[in-house]
Amino acid sequence: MVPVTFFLALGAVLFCIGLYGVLTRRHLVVVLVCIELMLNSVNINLVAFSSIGPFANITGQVFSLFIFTVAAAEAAVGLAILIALYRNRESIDVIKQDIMRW
Amino acid sequence: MLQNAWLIPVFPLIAFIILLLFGRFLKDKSSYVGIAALALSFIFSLLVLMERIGGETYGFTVNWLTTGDRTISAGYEVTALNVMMLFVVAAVSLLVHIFSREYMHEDNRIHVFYSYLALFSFSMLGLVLSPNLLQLFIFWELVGLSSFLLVGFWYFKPEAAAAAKKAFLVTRIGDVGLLIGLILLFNATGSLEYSAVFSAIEAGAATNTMLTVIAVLIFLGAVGKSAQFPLHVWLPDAMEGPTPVSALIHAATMVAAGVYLVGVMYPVFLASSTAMLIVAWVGAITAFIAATIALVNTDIKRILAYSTISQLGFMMLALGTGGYVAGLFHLMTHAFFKALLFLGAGSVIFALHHRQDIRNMGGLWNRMKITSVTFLIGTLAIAGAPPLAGFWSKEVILAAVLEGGGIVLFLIAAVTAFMTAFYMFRLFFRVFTGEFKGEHEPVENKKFMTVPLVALAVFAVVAGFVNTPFAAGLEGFLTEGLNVGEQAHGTIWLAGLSVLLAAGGFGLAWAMYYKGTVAQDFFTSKAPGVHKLLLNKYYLDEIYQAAFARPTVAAGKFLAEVDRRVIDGIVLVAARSVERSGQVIRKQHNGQLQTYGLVTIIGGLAVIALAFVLRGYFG
Amino acid sequence: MIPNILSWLVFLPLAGALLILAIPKENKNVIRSLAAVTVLAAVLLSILVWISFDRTVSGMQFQQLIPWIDLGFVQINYEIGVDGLSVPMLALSSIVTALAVFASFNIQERVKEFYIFILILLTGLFGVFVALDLFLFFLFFELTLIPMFFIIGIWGGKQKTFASFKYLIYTGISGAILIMSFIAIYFIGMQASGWTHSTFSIPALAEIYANPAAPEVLTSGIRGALFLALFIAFAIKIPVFPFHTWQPIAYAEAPTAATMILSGVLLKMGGYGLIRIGIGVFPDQVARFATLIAILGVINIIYGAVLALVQNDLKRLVAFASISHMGIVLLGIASFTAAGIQGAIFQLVSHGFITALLFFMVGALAERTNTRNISELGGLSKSVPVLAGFTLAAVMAAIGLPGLSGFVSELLTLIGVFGAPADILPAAAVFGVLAGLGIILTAAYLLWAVKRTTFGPMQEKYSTLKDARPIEYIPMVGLLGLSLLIGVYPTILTDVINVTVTDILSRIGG
Repeated sequence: MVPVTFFLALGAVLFCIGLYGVLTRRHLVVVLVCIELMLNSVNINLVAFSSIGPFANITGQVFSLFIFTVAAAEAAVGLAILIALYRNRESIDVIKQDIMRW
Repeated sequence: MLQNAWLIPVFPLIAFIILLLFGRFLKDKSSYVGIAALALSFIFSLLVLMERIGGETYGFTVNWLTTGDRTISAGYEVTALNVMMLFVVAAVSLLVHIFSREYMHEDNRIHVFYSYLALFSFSMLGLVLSPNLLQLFIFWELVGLSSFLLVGFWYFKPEAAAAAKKAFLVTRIGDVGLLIGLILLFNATGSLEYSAVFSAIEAGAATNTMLTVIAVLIFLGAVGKSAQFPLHVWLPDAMEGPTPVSALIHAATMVAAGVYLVGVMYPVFLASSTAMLIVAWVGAITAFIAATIALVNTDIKRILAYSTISQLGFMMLALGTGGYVAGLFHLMTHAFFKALLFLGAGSVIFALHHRQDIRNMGGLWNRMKITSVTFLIGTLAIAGAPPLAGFWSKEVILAAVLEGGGIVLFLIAAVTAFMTAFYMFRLFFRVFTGEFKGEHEPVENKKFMTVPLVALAVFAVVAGFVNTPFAAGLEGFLTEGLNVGEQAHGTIWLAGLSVLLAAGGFGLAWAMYYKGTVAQDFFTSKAPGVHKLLLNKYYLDEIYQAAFARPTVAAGKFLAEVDRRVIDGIVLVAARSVERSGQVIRKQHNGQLQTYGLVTIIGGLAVIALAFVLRGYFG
Repeated sequence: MIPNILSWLVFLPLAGALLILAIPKENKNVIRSLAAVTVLAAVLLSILVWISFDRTVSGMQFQQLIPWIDLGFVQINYEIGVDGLSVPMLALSSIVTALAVFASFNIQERVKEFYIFILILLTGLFGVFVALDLFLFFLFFELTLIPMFFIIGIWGGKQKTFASFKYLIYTGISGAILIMSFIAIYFIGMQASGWTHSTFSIPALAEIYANPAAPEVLTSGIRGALFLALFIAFAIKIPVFPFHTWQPIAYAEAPTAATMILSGVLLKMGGYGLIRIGIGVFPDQVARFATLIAILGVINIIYGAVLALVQNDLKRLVAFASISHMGIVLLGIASFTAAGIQGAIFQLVSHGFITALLFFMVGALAERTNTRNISELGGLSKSVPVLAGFTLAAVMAAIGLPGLSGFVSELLTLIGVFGAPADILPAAAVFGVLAGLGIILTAAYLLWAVKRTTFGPMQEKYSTLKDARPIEYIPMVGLLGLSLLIGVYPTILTDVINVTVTDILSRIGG
């Protein structure tokens, strides 16, 4: 039996990689992908606790299904925004998207 | 009949409402509405007067205002004093209404004029019918309003507009005094009904100091309304109003309301010797300085206005020295002969196409016979020639002053009486004798104007006979059931002195302005300084301007700056500093999503770390 | 008698607003008539409340209580009811708003939004005047803020943005202080009741603060602080010097109808709150700070009057006059006598009518002459005699001419001030005399203004002005008539107030 700590460690590592990517990559599509990565790291945690946690029950898996759905929707909306953004500004560089400052 | 006395002011009120709503369709027929209403009032007040002389009395009240457990009522009552006033007011008012029909017929706002006149008559009649001080005050203010409207009737003349404002404002100062006085009285005695107040005071409801304060404050109201020194400055300016208005409001009725007020509240004044002294001295000073100004003035209406002030001072002087009947008697006789003089002046002014300077008049005696004769009767009456009305009332005043006021006040009164005769005959000689100095030949006016003159002349002759040393009818009537102290009576030598003073004034005026045996600048050349002082009315207007009006406006300008710069300034500085700090901080928001994210994460970690450190989770 | 009449009254304007929302904005006349019908119905309902109100008993009537938010430890109820203090305010709000609706028929742009805002505002006003729950009170209090902000900001004059934001921020601060002090009153009340009560209900809190189970919680410092916080919050609304600077510009920039409501009713929420919550819950503190309140009142009276004297803009002049007149309310409250508090309430109502009329007249004159500058006006009596006449009547009412309502409130207040108990308000006579000075100054600035606008020689450019339109007679005659009515026969109003005032005073044995 793999201890729950391993799963948590995997989740934490994935989360940090995702976070690092969100904070450092300049390409918006990559940023979006990194966000997916962070969501999935949460999913790992949920599923892990759901099957081998101290109060194991089905809720965690149901929740991860929700997150899949939300992630899919988010990806769709996010990519749509990116396309719109690209059409308008001809760039999806994060650094250049600063018209909302101040 | 007495229980219908409330109808007396209601007739003019109805006339006012009719004229307000339909006046513009009635045009110059409006005058008939006013005259009819006043005729009814006059008939009613005559009936009420006769019945009251028969000894009946009547009062009626309803609750007007309840505060806590105290109530203020409203109603009307018929007393000896107020039936006398009702009769005088209704009579003069009716005659002025008749006179104005001709005098104002060229004015296309005659319906407005008549509506204001009706409003005034309503308020003045209501004032005298009031059974309590507050109701009196309410009507007191309403007569002030009508006075304001009528003085400012020709609002397009800047002088009239200014005079109306001044009249209202200056009397307002007195009114606030009266208001505070009546409130103090109410708090001290728990009532404002005259009879209840008097019995409470007799029972010792207020300390002596309190009574003095109350009496002086009430008197302040009278000072404002009756144009006593130092608040008399509005009355001469009020002559900017149409002349019938001056006759009605600023000679016969409204300005006498102050005297009436002191008369009505007489027991309160009697309870405080200080207040009586103040009343007497204010009256004396007013009588004297107004008479001196009248000596040199050259505007026919203003001379009469100063004469009115002086005579009102006389009445106050009488009241202040214990001459209750004397003061009120003079109030009645003065109402008739001063209304006569003003309407006579109006007749002259109308005939001369609105010229008022007596230096440009003269020789009207043969041209306007009725006006001249009636004016002469008025002049004789005010000068105190026996047996006209003014002689009788002036004599009792002198007697009262001598008995209750001492020699100084008596001398002031005597000198004033002399000056009165002089300036009135000066006016008479300048206007009616000598050479005529105009282009248009004046002719006698129509009946609408002469009939009131004749009627008033009759009153000016006979009104004095109601209270002579031989038959003091008025005294018995007014003092019945009232404790106003012993009343002084004239003596033969006093009557002689009074006639002598009048004759002296007449003689001097005759010598200077008719015969020319004494040069007209005989006095003025000797004391040019005094002459200038009098011409400028003791510079009181200028002093008030400099002492009150301008500093107030200056304070206003200063405070407006303070308001804008300091108070609003602080607010704006507070607002700006928020805005500035926002501008500094917003530079940190450079729109870089990833920087935001980093800061958020670092911040979140810092908060967690802080929680651990503070709560000691590491230990 | 309609059951739950107060709720009907409160939500009737809101229903009207929703109906208007459903009407296409092109149908301006339909919108106008619908707004008029709604406010007239509100007037009728508020008069019905007035008539069916029992003048002989103290305490709340037509009460309604529905549990609303229950968080276990916090209970907020929809608790409403009226006493002699609120009934006149309800009538005042509905009448002034109704007349303002008639006065605003000449507005052409964004008619739909305008009336929606006005009606929401009316719901807020009604709500404030019937709420017996502090939270509910606050909710309605804030509800009045937003519509007025938009009305000034959209339909205002040249500086409308600045004015509306200043109004918003000042009133927002007032609201913030208010909600904080409400919550403090709630928590401290809970402790003072010995943890037995947790309530926002004003009557219950009044009872708790009067007879606390745990008196050691309610030190005089805490009571004082709570009262002063409330006082400042309401002082901004009234407005009291030195929190008044939002007011002249807000009045000057707001459209006529909004100024009528703003000065006629919205301000009155401050005075109402001060009496309802200030005196209702903290009568002892009002007595303690009576001198302070009286000083502020006198400052308001004289400062407002002196500043009004030098204004050149007619609307600003009336705004400062309004500040001056509100001082009378403070003075009446400070006197702590039946007459004084009665006078204060009377003044709230009376001033509501008079100032609305004054602003209407200024608006009507300015609309015709295209200027509000006194220095450019003059001789208007000739070209617009009816308007000039009503202006003069309004001025006379503001001056306190007997027969019109302003006089009665001045009289009652002064009776109260001169009769104030010496241990509560020392040197009361000084305040009375200064108030008297204020009365003289009032006459001075108003008559001076009249002299320079409607009197004097007619100016050529104003010779062709049109006199009053028929629709304008409705607000003019209505407001003047009401002022005349309660001025000639004040009992019609005072008998509603009297029992409540006596009851308030008896509660602290004053």
